[in-house]
Order: sequence, then C-alpha cells, then structure tokens
Amino acid sequence: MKKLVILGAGCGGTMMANKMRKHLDRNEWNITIIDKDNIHDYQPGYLFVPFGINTEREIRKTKREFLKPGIDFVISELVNVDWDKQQVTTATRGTFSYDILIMSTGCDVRPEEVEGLGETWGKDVYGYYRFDHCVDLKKALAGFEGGKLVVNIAEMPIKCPVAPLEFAFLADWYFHTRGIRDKVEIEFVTPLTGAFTKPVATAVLTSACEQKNIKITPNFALGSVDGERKVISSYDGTEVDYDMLVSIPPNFGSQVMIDSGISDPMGYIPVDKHTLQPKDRPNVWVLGDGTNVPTSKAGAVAHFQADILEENIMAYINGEAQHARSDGHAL
Amino acid sequence: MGLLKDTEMNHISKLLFKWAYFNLLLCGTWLGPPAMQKAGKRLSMIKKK
Ligand SMILES: Cc1cc2nc3c(=O)[nH]c(=O)nc-3n(C[C@H](O)[C@H](O)[C@H](O)COP(=O)(O)OP(=O)(O)OC[C@H]3O[C@@H](n4cnc5c(N)ncnc54)[C@H](O)[C@@H]3O)c2cc1C
Repeated sequence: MKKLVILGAGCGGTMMANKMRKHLDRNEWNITIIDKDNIHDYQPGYLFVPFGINTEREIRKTKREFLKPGIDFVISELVNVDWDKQQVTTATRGTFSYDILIMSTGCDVRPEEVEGLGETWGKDVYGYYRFDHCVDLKKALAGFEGGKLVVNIAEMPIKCPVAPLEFAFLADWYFHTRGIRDKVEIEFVTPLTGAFTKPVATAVLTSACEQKNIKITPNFALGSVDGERKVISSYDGTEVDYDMLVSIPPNFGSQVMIDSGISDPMGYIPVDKHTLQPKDRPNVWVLGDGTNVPTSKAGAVAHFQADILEENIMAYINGEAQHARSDGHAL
Repeated sequence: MGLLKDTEMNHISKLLFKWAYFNLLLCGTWLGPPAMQKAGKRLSMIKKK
C-alpha cells in the first residue's frame, strides 16, 4: 500500500485530502491527514464575531465532518518533519512514513514576538486572528463607550492582508449602530505605504477611509507596546496613543517547521513559487499560508494552489510531465 | 472596481461565502480554471502605472 500523508487539516489540507481521495484507488493508496485538533474554524468569520454578526455555531465546526470516507484522520501535534527519511513524527501517535507528502500547516499570530505586546494582551489590547481572541474582543468592544481605537498591523506578511481594514470599516459601522461614533476616533496604523498593498486598491480604500473618518498612519513598523502609557512605538521612534488597541501581531508559520530545520526563521517553507515544491524534493508539495511564496496568505489562494497540486501530483504518480503552474492569484 | 465598493451586496456576498466554503471549497469542488481570470478586472489601470 502506498502512503499519501497530509499535514494540517485546515483549509488547504482538507481540500487536498478530498481531491486526492477522488483520484486515488483505495486499494493502492492510503491517505492520512494529521492535525493537532479537531476544530475547523471558518477564519474569515473571525472578522464578524467581535461585532456579534457571526456566532461560534456558525463558524466553528469539526475537521472530521469535512473529510470524505477513506481518509484516516490522526489528531496529534506534529513534532518533526524529516524529508530525508520521508517520515513525520507526532507527539502521541508515533511516526508516519510517506510516499507523497502534502503540507498545509498554515500560520498563526505571535503577540509575544513584539516587546510589551504579549504582556499587555487582554488589557486594552486585543486581536481577532484566533477564535478565543475574537470572543475577548467582543466583550471589550461592548464595554467601550468612547475614546481612541487603534487598529495596528505589526508587520507583513499577515494572513488575509485586507482583513485589518475590513475590521476598521466594521468598527465604524458598529459604533454608528451603537450611536457613539462621534465619541470614537479610529486610527489605522500600518507598516505599508498606504491603506493597502496594491495601488488601484489603495486609491479606492483610502477614499473609503476618508469618507468614514478613519485616519491612516502609514510606514509604521511596530517596535514596542507600552501598556502603562497606552502607546505603541515604531522603530523610528514615532508614537501613537490608544484607548483600545486591536493588534494583528506578527504571523509565523508552524513552529514544527522551524524545529525541523526546513523553513525560514519565520517558519515559512521555501518553495518554487510556480510548482510549490521545495528544492530537490520531488514527492513533497506545500500550499496555503505556510509557504514563502510572495502572494496573499488567503484561503482563496490556497484553493487555486490546490488545483495546481491536484494536477501535478496525479502527473507525478502516473510518471507524466507536470505542466500546471501556480500564478499566486486570489480571485 | 465593483468588488472593492462599500455596498450592502458586497457585504452580504462576503457573509454568504461561508456556505460556499463549507459546502463546496472544502469538498475539493472545481470552481473554475486555476489561472487568473481577466473578466471584471480593470487591467488597463494597472498597466498605466
Ligand atoms: C481574520 C481572518 C480573515 C480572513 N479572511 C479571509 C478571506 O476573506 N478570504 C480568504 O481567502 N482568506 C481569508 N483568511 C485566510 C484563510 O483563513 C487562510 O489563508 C487559510 O485558512 C489558509 O489555509 P491553510 O491550510 O494554509 O492553513 P489553516 O487553514 O490555518 O490550517 C492549518 C492547519 O494546520 C494545523 N497545524 C499547524 N501546526 C500544526 C502542528 N504542529 N501539528 C499539527 N497540526 C498543525 C492547524 O491546527 C490547522 O488546522 C482570513 C484569515 C483570518 C485570520
């Protein structure tokens, strides 16, 4: 029996497992997908939880319910990935060898990477890039009666780069709905040169910010957070004060990739941007937020990458040339 | 730039996308060719830059 092992049962891993199960004969290929837990969050829904638009029931499901029959689901934390030995090791379920490996372990926020941010988290400083963070932020927003709300991106890359701006727009709507918009100042503090990365979108989004009275502070590379003074400082010494800080902390790939020595220092796995394969690893493919590919870290990107992988992995199995090329687009 | 506009339709579409994610995307459904589509995009604006 040949073995296809998939790491991460989030957006990219689940899509790949289901696609490959359709193609691969169950008598020839065993498919195993490994994840540290059985919770599948619809992450775009995180944006709406703090404002009471989406509930836990709507966006939180189990991972297992999305996996087709004939896929083995292993719940255990990955602790090592060894491309030379062609095996991966889990914390509680032993080691799994593979003939083909697909990796989609995503990325996650790390508040502790910024001086003062980890310590201040939960004290007028919140986020919404994890479900529990959204729940805390919802409570904090409900009790916020006025003052300065700062939405800050610590550094790029982050997943869904437009989500922070969407958050600022939703906050504008939310405070209007509560009848206290005139008591709330909203400032969007970003390391980018403007509202967004691309010029056409930046022009449209800047004018939307002006209409909504959202101040944009660009070129701000977050250096530290001072919870006592309620101030964020950039590396060049610029300070912005806040009453409530909604932070998008640095995003890192999965720690296991750093520990296994197969990623860059941020945990992102270097791959060819068109084939999504690490150098000299013909039976390994990586998709989603966990790569170092210079494109948006978005589920939409992972979806189109999955189509490329599906075609090329089938060509690899059948001994044919691999023609599909990823162009990194999201829409 | 219809997709970027601050409209109720865009907001509702974003909320409804959850259904497509859980029922189509995760199942591995093919939703169109993987190469970038040019329809609806103002590529002329990008070229001018
Ligand atoms: C607030 C927010 C809004 C967003 N909005 C959008 C949007 O509008 N449109 C869009 O396209 N995308 C959006 N995204 C991004 C989208 O959710 C991600 O790009 C997508 O989920 C990436 O898929 P992935 O498979 O790479 O990672 P994930 O879906 O995050 O899956 C990674 C999986 O790997 C597992 N894992 C990690 N490390 C280990 C380990 N050591 N051991 C075992 N398991 C491990 C995790 O548990 C997880 O299940 C948004 C994200 C956020 C946070």
